[in-house]
Amino acid sequence: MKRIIIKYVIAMLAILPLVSCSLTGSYSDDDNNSKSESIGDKKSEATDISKNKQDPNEITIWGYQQGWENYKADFEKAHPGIKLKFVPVDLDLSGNITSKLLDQMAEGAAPDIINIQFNWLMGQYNYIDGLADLYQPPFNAKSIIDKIPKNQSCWTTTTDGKKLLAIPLVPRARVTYFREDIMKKYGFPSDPVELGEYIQKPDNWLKIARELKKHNIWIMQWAVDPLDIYINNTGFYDNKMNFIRNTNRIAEMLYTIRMINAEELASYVGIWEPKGQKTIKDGRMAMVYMGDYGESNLEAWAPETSGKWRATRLPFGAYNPDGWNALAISKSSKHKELAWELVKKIYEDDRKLYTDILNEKSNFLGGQKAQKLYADLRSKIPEYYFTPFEKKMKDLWDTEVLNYSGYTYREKDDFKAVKDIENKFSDVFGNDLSILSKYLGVKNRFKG
Amino acid sequence: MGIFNKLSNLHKSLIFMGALTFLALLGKILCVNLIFDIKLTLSSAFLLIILKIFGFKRAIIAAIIVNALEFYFFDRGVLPIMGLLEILTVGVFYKFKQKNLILLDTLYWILACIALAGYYMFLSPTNMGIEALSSFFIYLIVGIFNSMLADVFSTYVPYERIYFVDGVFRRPPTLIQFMVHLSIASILGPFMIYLAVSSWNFERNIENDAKAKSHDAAQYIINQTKTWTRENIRDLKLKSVLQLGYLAEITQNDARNTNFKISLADANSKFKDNNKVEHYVNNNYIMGEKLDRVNLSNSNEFYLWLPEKTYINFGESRWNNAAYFLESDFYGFEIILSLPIEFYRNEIFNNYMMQAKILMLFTFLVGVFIFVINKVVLKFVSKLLQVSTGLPEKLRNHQDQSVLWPGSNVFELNELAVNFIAMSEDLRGLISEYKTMYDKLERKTLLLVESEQKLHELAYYDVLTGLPNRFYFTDYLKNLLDEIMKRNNIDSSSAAVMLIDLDRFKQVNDTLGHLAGDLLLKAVSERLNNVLLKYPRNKRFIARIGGDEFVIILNDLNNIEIMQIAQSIISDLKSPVDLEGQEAYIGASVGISAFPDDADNMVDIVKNADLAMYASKGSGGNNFKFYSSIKNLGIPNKMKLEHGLHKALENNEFLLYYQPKINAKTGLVTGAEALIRWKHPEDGMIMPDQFISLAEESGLIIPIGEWVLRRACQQVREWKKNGHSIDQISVNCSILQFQQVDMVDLVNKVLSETGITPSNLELEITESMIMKDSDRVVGQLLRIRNLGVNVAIDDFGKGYSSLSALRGLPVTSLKIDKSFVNNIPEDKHNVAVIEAIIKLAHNIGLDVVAEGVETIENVNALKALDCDEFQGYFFERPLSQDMFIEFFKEKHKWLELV
Repeated sequence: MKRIIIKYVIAMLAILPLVSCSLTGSYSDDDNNSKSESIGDKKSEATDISKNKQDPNEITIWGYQQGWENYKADFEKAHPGIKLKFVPVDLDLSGNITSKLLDQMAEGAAPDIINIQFNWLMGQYNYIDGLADLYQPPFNAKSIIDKIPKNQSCWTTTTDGKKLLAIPLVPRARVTYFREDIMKKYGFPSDPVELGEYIQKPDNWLKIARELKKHNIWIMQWAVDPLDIYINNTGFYDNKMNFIRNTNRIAEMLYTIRMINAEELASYVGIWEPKGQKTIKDGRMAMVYMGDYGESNLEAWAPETSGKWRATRLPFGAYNPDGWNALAISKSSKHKELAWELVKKIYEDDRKLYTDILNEKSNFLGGQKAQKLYADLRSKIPEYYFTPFEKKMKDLWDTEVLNYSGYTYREKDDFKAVKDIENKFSDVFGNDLSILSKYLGVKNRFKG
Repeated sequence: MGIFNKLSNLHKSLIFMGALTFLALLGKILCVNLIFDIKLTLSSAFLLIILKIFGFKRAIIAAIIVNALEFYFFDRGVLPIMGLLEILTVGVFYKFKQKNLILLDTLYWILACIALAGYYMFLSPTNMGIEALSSFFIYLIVGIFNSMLADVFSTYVPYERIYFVDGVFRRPPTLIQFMVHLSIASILGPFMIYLAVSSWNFERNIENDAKAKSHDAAQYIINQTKTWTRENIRDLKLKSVLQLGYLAEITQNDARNTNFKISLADANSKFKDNNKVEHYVNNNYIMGEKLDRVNLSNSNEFYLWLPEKTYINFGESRWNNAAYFLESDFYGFEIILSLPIEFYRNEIFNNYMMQAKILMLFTFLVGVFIFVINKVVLKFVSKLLQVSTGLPEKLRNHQDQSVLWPGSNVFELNELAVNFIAMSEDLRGLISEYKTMYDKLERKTLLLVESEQKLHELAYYDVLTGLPNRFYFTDYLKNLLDEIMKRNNIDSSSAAVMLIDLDRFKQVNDTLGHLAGDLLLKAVSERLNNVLLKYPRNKRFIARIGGDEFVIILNDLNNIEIMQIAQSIISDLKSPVDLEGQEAYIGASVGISAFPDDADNMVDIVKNADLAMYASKGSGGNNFKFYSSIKNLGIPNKMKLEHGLHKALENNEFLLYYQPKINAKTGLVTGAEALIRWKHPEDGMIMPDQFISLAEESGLIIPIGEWVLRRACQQVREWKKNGHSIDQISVNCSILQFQQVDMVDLVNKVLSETGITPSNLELEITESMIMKDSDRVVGQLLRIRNLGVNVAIDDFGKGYSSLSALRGLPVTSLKIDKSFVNNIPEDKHNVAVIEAIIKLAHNIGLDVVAEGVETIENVNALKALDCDEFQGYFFERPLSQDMFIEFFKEKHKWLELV
């Protein structure tokens, strides 16, 4: 039974690749925008809650995982007269759903529990007064949050750390899945640890890309992959309002991207598309970078490759998450205590699950003890924070990087490019960042 | 008031103190609140009054009550603590140095403010601004003003009239005190009023300004946000930090609004409850703090906000966070604009400082004024006071030095000094005069003291020998006996009186002269002193009480010692005395009487010693006798009488009785014969036949005779004065009188003393007197007769004088002896003799008086024989003067004779 649940949960988590996909490739795409809106429209009953008056005896959970449905019976039995209502919500790739949620909060009619599906969306709640502070009674969640590593909980507190806005579930670490057989065949390290070590240097990684390209095999989908691998999902500014994407390593990544562009080392096919998945099936994709849920995606897309894949750490010394869930309780909830009871239960079960599967071997990965690797990588993810305009920043970032890597700034020094990007950010967001700096009481580096 | 007067001082003091404590509390309640929690209160003035009147303990009790109540109910800040400390500190020092309350209080406030300022500096070294200084300055001013009020009250208000504090002496205020009070009051009083009024005005101005600014700012914000989208409004509702930030930016875009802080409140959390308001503020401004809301105007939208009063909070004033608030509708919210009062802080405190500067200028000017007045007037008055204090004493002690009077350039003061100089000069003259008189008086007093001393010596001492005299002796003996009696343990030898009479002194005196007699007495007194020298001074006393009589009082000596002394005296006085080359031999008779064995009183003890001395003399002299040894032998009557006669005249023991004489023809009382009687204190009335001869023997007849003559004449004068016509008084004389004194002189003297006519007096002499010393007596009688005094021959017929011998004698009448009269007419011989005498007498012009007429037969016979006057028991026996007058009134006419 236990195994069935685990499998089920893991399978549910498989929906998250969509996130990775959209954020890495076509985030600012108009199609995506319209797509997300259409999702919203499609599920109008779920997203337009404000129009349906809430049943006073109902606890509404917005955005959920199917496995949670199992809690319903037990909970309602334990609390006669109280009903749990899980409302499925589309992945809020554009933030539109969040915007609607904010409308409801402003009206005081938000759902009781909100499942935050993207970590960057947390920035939307970070600087408003919409979610309950779980540090306060009746939640008193300090004892819980103290047990969770800081790098996992940092994004669920307000940036100043004063309020706890959500309880994070265990995040997924981003890992490198590679074809062991291909690496072996072309003379590269095939042992996960050795390869992991080998690809820390961008040159080695490029070396693999160049060698495999000769055989029409790819290790990246897009030219900007190195930056995506290196820094994605960890925000732009730290909690002191320092720009974190201005390091030498970023400059190095920019250089790498230029090389990739120049040498056309990317496949230029996304794996979330059938075309891309075919390259996996065909054995023309030797490396993919996904959250640790990725092995189930790979198995689904190319079951015949089972046993040929292995998992290792990300290249370039990068550690970042790819897959997040956090449960928040709205400030206007009338059932805060019951909601909290449920949140706690889900949280506890989630933690327990990961402890239980820690030593399991993955057949798909040729018997590799991948959970141990995931847990290790998870522990190395740095702390990160989000602003309310994370999506806009991502758009600007992508534009700037594209501009640089492609065409406009070809003659430019990588380090200067990094500086220019930072300045561009200050120009665009300086006023807002200034307000936030004042609020946080940190040094204001921006023109207010 | 009546009831109040009946209360005891304790009750009055409690009521008085209670009232002052209540006033102090009232002062706290009704204080003037300036901005920034600065208070103008008169409270401590009342506490200081309690301190001045009732002392430290009661003041501290009152201060604790008042400040504790203030702390508990009104102000949990620094002021009640400062107030309590003020009374505590000032009280402690005032106990030791009860001089200057104002100075002590000023020092306290200066130190307290320095301490507070130090503490503020410690807390926030950079923030210590003009405001702290000016608030301290105001505390200092209020402190000084209050202490001045207390001083003024206790100096000028006669509180002791309703409440008498024992031992409180109200010293009138000094000029400088008055000046100080006046100056402080005239500076600080108006200043405090001005401070209160101006700061009230100032607050209103600030308030109006803040209100206008807030409204402008609110309007500006509303105008600027007209373009906001639905999302903007939503984010505002969600208190989006960004949205509020945008709002703040809008506000701050206008330079006028940069001092504002913008907050938003939900419409439903609009300030319903003044005390607790959810308060949303952008940035890091106060959120959800408890508010102490102060409404300033009728408008509910604009008010002054103060953080709630907290417990003692040195250093941080709640005014640091005070702000003016304006609430305004804003897209379904309340937008709250707060303008921190800090914005006006400098302005306010600059205002205070300006006032402080003005005050300081005034203080300086008044200080200069006081200095000048002090220099010009007060110093002068003080010097004048100093110089004129005890002026008479100074003038007296330094006659020749002139007093240094202060001078002044002020006309009136100078005139005053001149007047003082003139007055002191006058005074000096008076004192000089007085001093001369005083010196004179002092000299005279000295002389008086000296003469008093001399007088005392004369009164108490014998001039010749230097020994105590009779007066001193009597005094001494009396005191000694009193003392012994008081001692109550009288033994047989308590005291003894030793009387010493010199033998043969008269002979020495007669033969060698008075000078030798005096030398002898001096020598005797020296020898007596020598004998007694070995006895303690308190046990012996020696005195000379008469010509050759000495007395010694011995105290607390036994009989053997007394005997030894007596023997030593006798043997010493036996030795010859060298009187300037001639040796004289005397002796001493000593009589000793002991107290209380021989007598229990002073008179008797002396008398008994006298008797013992006589006994000693009677046994041949040169020996001594104890009274105890002679009293049982029986003291001879004659000796006793003779002894008594000595004292009788002194003790006024003699009396005169009067026997009437009746005219035979008219039956009228024509006169009386004065007859002496001795009323002896122990033996009663003694007749003259018992003592006259003794008196003649002892020579006492002379003074006795003189006394009789004088007394008889005095009596006649009295009778006449009282209207009784008694023509003649007859007085018997002794031959010794004619022999030893000049009777003519005496009679003359007595007549002139008494003023009676000589014919009223008749002297009676006996035949024997004429026979014995015929020439001497007759010579005197002639001169007496020439004076007009009558002379009668008493007891005529008894002697042997012949009738013819009567011729030529200055005699006016004969008194026939009673031995011829008492048996006529039976005895014919006597009848014949009487008849012959009468005839003869009539022949030579003499009257005849018959004595001893006892019967009617005697009367008839004598009448038949032509006798002129009768005297005898038939008519009346001799009578005392009272009885004589009675008799005279009743029987002044003997009718049987007519």
